[in-house]
Amino acid sequence: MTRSRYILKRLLQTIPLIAGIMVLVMLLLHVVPGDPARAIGGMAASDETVEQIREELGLNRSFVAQYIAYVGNALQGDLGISTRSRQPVTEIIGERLAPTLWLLTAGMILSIVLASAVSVLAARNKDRAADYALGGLTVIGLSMPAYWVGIMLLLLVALPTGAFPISGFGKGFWGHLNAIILPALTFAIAISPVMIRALRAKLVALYRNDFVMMSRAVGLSESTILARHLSRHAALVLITMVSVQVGPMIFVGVVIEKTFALPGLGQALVNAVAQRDFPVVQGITLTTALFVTFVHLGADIFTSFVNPRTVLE
Amino acid sequence: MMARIAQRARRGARPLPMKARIGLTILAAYILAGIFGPMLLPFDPDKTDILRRLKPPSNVHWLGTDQLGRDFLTRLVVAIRVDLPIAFAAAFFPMVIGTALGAIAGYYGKLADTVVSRAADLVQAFPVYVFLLVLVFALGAGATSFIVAATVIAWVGYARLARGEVMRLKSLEFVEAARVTGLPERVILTTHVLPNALPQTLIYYMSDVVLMVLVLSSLSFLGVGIQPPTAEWGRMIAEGQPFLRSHWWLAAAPGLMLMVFGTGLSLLADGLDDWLRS
Repeated sequence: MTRSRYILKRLLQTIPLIAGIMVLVMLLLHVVPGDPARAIGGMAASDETVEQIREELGLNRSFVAQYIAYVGNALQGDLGISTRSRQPVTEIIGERLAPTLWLLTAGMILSIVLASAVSVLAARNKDRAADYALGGLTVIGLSMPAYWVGIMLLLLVALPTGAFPISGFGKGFWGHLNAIILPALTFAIAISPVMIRALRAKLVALYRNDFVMMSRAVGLSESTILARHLSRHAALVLITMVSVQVGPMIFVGVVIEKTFALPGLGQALVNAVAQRDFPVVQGITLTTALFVTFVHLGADIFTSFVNPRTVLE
Repeated sequence: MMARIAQRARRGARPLPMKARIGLTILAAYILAGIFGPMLLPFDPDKTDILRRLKPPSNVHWLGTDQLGRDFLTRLVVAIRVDLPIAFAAAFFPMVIGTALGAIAGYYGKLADTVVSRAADLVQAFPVYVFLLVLVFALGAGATSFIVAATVIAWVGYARLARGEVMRLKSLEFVEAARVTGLPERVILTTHVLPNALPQTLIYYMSDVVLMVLVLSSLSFLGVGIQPPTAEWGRMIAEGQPFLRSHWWLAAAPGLMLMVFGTGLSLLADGLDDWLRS
């Protein structure tokens, strides 16, 4: 199989996947125990209001008809209207996107930097004190709830120094940057332990290769060996980890937005959940699911360039 | 056969690694504290007393009182009875269902494999924990919803693990030997193949419990999980956050409870894994 055929195949595979994702997103409304329209309206709502909600969400039509209508509208960029604020869902998503993208981007960069540094340090000192200490910290890191790490950073860094805002997204580029540092650090502490485990194991295996001993014998420095001969293999592991971890990353993002009161998609989702605002919940769930699908796709395509063997399968 | 038994015996005689022993000790401490702690502590975890709210640690209230005047230590300990059983259950049902589905897919292949693998792909295409959050919300917040939603998403990991193990094991000679003796396929799968896949499954289960207790507490932190007034660590952290400046321990202590529990169980899983491999 050529690479272009592989990429085409992967692209075509996402179509049924997205269709399946939309079925699950639609089903959300239907697993609500009892009458979904009544659940949204609340116990105090009048029968007319409940009837109106039912009409608005199309609940009086068959599931297939609802699904076709939802997909058709979604393709035209219409994800419905918030049952609370009456604002179009796509507009809400547009307004809330920036803080989330800031957090995910900064958090991802920090996670990769932290994971790489710790993994190299641990692998180079395999079975020595530094390796055990870092391994212990990794296990502890895996067991810490992200929101708690955020609150502890507020307590131990933001409150004593006063250098970072306690909540919110700041104003202007530098304000945003300053406001995102602690959330991104929280993100990295929560996400990097899983990456470290995989990357350290890979590096330990790589250092056993004969070509590493050969490179040392001809007098290459350790940093040259790492940069020239090992980094490419390590990068593949990182791409795989980002691809596998993107789901948990989004959840961690939601939790961190709540902790630091960042006005992003995650906070919008949590608010919509609290207000039983189904169209917004569905819209944001769909957005995050599409994001995950495209990250998986992107990672596979990227990998096919770095490691052409994956195309052969 | 004799060689296998001898190997087992040697394995049994070999002591557990330090990691596993530390982990086991921590786990035992939590379970004992969860069972006996509430009996020994004289306070009602849910009884509010507005006049005694936000008291610092004292001889009466060893860790002080929370924002509603409830004894904080009692709530920290009582929460073990909430977080641990729900997390163990939320990983248990996916283990049973996922292992069964994965074993069937791996052993029989063909259509069974296609159906299970595609369903797993679909679940994994989602940001699974966001999906779990939304599913819990749709079903109505609470422990039962959490366990149901966790089962819907978490079976995938067990299914992939069991599928791989069963596919590896079914081509080995002892399975062939069992088949020659005329045993039905179903019996070969359940009594000869599956038991060999169980140790890895149990180790995966332990790390899954760590994940589940974190997800459960995160949902409660977001207000979708365990509802007040039930004592739950994530909820307690959320309730303590506004008092961070003056009463930092209200947010810090429940997180430590989560962290030590997760570390203990992870160490136990790691240690057992090393023990089985060596």
